[in-house]
Amino acid sequence: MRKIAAIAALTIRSAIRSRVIAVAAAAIIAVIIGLPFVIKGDGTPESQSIIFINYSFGLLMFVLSLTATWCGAGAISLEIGERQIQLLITKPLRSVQIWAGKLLGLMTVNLVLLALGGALISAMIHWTLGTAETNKTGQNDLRRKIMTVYRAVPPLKASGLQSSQAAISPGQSFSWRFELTKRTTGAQFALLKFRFIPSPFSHQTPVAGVWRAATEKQADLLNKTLSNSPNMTVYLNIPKIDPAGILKLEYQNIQTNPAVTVFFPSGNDLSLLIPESSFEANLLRGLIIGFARLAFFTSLGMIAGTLFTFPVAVFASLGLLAMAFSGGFVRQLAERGLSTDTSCEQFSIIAFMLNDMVRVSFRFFAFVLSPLERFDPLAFLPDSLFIPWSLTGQSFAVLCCLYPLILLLIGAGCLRRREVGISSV
Amino acid sequence: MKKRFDRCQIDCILHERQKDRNPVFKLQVNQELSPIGPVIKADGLTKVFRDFWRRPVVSAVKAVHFEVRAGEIFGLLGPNGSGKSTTLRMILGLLKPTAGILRVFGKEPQDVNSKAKIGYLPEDSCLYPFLTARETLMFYGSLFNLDSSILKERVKQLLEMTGLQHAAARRIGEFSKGMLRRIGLAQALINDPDLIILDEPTSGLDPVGCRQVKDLILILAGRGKTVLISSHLLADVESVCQRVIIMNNGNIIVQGRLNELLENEAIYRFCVPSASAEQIQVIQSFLRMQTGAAPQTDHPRKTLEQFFLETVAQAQPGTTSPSGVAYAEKVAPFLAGEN
Repeated sequence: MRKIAAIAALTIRSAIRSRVIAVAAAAIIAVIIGLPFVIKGDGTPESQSIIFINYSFGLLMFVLSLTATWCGAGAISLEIGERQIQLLITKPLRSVQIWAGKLLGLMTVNLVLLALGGALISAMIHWTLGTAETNKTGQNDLRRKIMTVYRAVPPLKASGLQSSQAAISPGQSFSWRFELTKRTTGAQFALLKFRFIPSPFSHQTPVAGVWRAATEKQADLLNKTLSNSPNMTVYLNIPKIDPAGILKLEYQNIQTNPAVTVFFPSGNDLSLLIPESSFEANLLRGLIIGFARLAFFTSLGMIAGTLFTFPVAVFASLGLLAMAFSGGFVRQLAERGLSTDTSCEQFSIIAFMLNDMVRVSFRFFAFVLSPLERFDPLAFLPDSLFIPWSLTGQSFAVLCCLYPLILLLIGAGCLRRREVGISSV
Repeated sequence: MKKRFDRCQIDCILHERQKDRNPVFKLQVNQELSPIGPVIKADGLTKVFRDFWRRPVVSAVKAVHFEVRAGEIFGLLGPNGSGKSTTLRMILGLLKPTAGILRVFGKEPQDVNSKAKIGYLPEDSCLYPFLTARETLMFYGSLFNLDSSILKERVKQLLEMTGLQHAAARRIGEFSKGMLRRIGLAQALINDPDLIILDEPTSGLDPVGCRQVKDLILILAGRGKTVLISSHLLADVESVCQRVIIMNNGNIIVQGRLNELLENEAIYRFCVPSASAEQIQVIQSFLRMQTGAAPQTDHPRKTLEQFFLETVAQAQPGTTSPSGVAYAEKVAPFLAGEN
């Protein structure tokens, strides 16, 4: 363990003295402090906070992923290229200790930079809310709104329909049922979040409708006529939700002139948001997931650096990073391949083969990158959605322990087999 | 004839000098080869470099056999491209033999326990340029699981021995080539190794540094350490090595004890401490009469190295160079077996 710690310390020193940490820290500070000056929003503290959470956190993760991948790619390949490993490998070290030490050192660097980014985001949000020009009550309301995260409760599935899917004609109404569990005990209010598509699609103005909410014990929790925009978050003032009951939510379409039908397409488009945790705790969980993702990127970079020279390793690992950030593109290529359309028969054979090759390769990439899709803090934080500890733990176990461990064993095996006496391969 | 005589003079002077300066040398020169098994054993050792398609490109080492025994100073000589660096790298586990058997301390070169007993000074600086001299030694020392207090003491002693105590806080990237050799040597000795592998140990060092390194090698060998030296500077190898192999084109072309290889048994040399011109004439007449050949007579010369060392010692005793290198005389106590 002492040997691993020595190599980790060396890696950290290298990152400090080669100014990697300074440059990355400067980039983080510039992104978090400078971005709100570039993206203004509507000028309200609420929108400023959303910018910090949405754009700044996303950019922070991008900058750190880039740094982690780059440093990972250079950790082994540069040592081989500059021959320092020729001396290191003559010392009583196993290749797994070298690999683990480097990984540990880089993960420490990631942790420091991520903590800096997280602290800056949190500080900037507090500063924005603190400087908002409202009275004390307004400040408290604003803080409660921004600094609270919610657990999304989806509606119970109705028979024959996909989740909350509903088409409501003028004059008609539709109701959804939400199961409230003990976890909702103590909630002082709830938010209803919904998105619908108006029909005719060309209808642009708000659609009039009545929202009613009730539980078995509380009859009139909500009875509100609203002009609903297609994307809207409605504030439902529920004094005390019955912890074990069923919340019935009804929407009555009263838009008759002109007649507009509203369509709620799927389950994710309507949910009840129950206050669950504070923003800071949620940000912490988001940062933990972010840290786990960085460990994954670092390991990927290190594997590339163990197999290839530095330029090739950087190219390969940044390619994987780009795929990771492209999201559905990789999955789409893995499922469908390239959509080539060649009329000539001989070309269609080539296209067919090419398509198959692309599909197989991208299936592999999709498989390698699949955990990243599952554990993405950006799927939660911008919408103020609660990140469960279970998901945080899973992400840590999978991305920060399991994957790096597998890559560690592969990398150490490759390093052991590689003849480092030759400076390039 | 003249050349041979010069060679003998050098032997004589160096031998006398070493006896005077270093009592350990007496132990070393009289020491019989160790009865312990070989520290390094190569049997049919072959290395073929291949290209990307696994086609053989060059046979760097061709089925060589040699042994390095415990406690001896062994020289590995050869012109550029002869295969000596490849052989060294195979011994260190940096390259894998294509064929043959190679054992270091009776085990595979990659064995971690064997590596704990090896100290290696590479030809090029393979050190981290962002570390200071002290941090470098602390780092490499920590890889041997040395106790913290022992490690600190060793680092201090090695910095003093290599004359780098004034440059201990400077980064390696700022060092001159000579300073790099010194810190490189220090890191190779941090674990008080049983086998010291030195690749061009005196390259880039000034004559004072060269002398110190050679003295150190003799002291280490006197403590039973095995030293393997690869060098182009034949005078250095000759002054310290007991046995050598000379490689050419991947083959060992000569192998044996240095004295046996270099000694010319057909010629004898007599050294007379002081004699008058008449006495010399008498001796010459006697030798001419007995051997039928005219003996050659001259005065022994100092080597340039010896002259330089004496001059420098008189000019700047105990001074420090502008680069921070001090002319240290003392060998690190832990290397001399004092603690």
